[in-house]
Amino acid sequence: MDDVDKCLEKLKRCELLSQATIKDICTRVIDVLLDESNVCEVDAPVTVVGDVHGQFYDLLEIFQIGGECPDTRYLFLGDYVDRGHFNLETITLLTCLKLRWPDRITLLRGNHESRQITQVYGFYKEVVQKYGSADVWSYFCEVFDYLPLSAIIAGKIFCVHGGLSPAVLSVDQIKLIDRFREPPSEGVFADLLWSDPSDRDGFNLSQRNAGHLFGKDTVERFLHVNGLSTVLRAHQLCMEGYQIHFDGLLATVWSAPNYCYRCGNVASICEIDASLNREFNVFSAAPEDRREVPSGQAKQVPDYFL
Amino acid sequence: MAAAVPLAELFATPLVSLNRSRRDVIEISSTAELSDAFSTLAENSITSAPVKDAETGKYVGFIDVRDLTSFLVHFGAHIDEGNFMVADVCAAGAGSVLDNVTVSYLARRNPFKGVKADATIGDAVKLITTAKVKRVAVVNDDGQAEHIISLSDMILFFATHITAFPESFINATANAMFGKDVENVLCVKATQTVLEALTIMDDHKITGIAIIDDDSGAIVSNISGKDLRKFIKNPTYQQLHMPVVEMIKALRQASQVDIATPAIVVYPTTLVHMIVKKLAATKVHRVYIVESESHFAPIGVVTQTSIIKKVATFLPADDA
Repeated sequence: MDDVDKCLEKLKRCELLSQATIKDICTRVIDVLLDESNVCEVDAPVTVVGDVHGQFYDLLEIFQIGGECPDTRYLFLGDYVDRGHFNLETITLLTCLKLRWPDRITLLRGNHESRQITQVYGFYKEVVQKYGSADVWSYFCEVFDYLPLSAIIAGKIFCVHGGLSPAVLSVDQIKLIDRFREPPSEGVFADLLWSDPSDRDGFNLSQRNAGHLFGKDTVERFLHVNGLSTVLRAHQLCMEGYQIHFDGLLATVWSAPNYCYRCGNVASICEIDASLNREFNVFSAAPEDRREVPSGQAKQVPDYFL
Repeated sequence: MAAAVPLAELFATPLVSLNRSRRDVIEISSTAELSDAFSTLAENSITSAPVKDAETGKYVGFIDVRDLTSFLVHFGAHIDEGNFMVADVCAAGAGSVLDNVTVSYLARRNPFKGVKADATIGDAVKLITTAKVKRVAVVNDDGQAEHIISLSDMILFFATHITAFPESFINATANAMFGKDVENVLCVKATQTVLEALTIMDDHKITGIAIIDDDSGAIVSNISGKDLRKFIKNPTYQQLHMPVVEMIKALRQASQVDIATPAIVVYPTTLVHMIVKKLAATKVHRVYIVESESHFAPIGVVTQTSIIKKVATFLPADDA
């Protein structure tokens, strides 16, 4: 693992790896991910991280605040890429951490870990700009196909990127999904990555055209059937960094401060101790003197649309 | 979901009960500058607004984002190069090639159809299908528009009460109800320019078009009325000549915080009630029918208007 350590040192300086090295790392991490269930079992204590979206310097802030991996056990809920200026550095760092310490970091799949979405929201474009071709994008898309879909912390806290599905009452049903593919636009797989909580009871169609809106009653039923205590998810911007729903039965954690470098929000990480007490550690964007502005990189969003 | 209501009762529902926005009708004066008229649409997130003649006080028609499409196409055809803003050209006045294109000129192309305050949903359905309008104005006794009811308002209503319709309708498939109509699915290739896309839309008088991959023909995304509203906030010559897919990507990145899928599609086997609910939930004006997940080329399109036309076939005999 000496080679991975060297990669990690380079990445923490925000330096990209060679295309050949990335290909090798991606191939090796797929072997690790193959052994993981669609529903990973994660021990406590653990720190849960929401959407990061290529905000590399804010990811480094997370490790400053929460502790470095492997000292701190981490569970990431997906959406590592798109929107930010350093999608490549972000996903490469996380992939190397997973390869180096597979038992100390769990990476779930978010709705942005998809060929269709990354072609629209920035990751694909960044790869072509930085490497001159889309090969590295296709290596990571293959890694995305192997990311697990959910996790349960200490048998009690269900973690997923988006939310619940009308087609799933038991966690065992999630274990049966064939996840090794591009996410479909409908069905349980799509629901887990795209759904959002709602004030309306039951399941309803979502404005996102994927996933469902799910109400408090569906969360109560799901937790009861599976002997769980709460749901922890990401997927939606929270201006305060996190949001508690349904009298504490569900929480959203959001980990990209000043999202898209203009939303002005704070972010948080959810620290869960051995007794499953939950604390949201709120933080702001990395200070200016600790981040680089991409040089020579075309603006991802022209000013005239802001 | 609301309990099933008899269809006759559904159609007898007062039209004004569909007005969700509860805000005053936004109107535009016939003397307004074109750029101000388009800005009004964008700033208020509306697709159209009634135009009132400044002298007579009567409604001339509606100005619509489709008019902006026509305007930009006309502008794009007459300007060879340069860094012009459309707003500058609108304000140019005498000597401009677009001198005769006024708010009134554009509004007369979209007729103002008003109904009285006691009009029903059935009345609106009939008006939409016979007069081919996209919205119905509810006017008071003085002829003043008090509510504008859109196709989206009506689709939401029918989605909520979908079980009122016969099973043979709501459980029909997209293929059976709307057929395979590839020739009439208007598309633009991803690398074609924004101007080329707008030209196709203007030629066919539509507010939406599918964007397809140059090689595979699969739907990548689409241009919608919402995109046009955002586009008109600050259009420039360069944007008109960008690849249309790059324009849409930039628009979506800038405007969406919690994203939706890039393309909104249904399949030949999707049932009608799901299509109506999807239109209501996503608030889009059309969904494209694609063959399957692996063959994503469009083979048909279902619009709000095509749903309303089907609904019209259930109007009571004396209303139809």
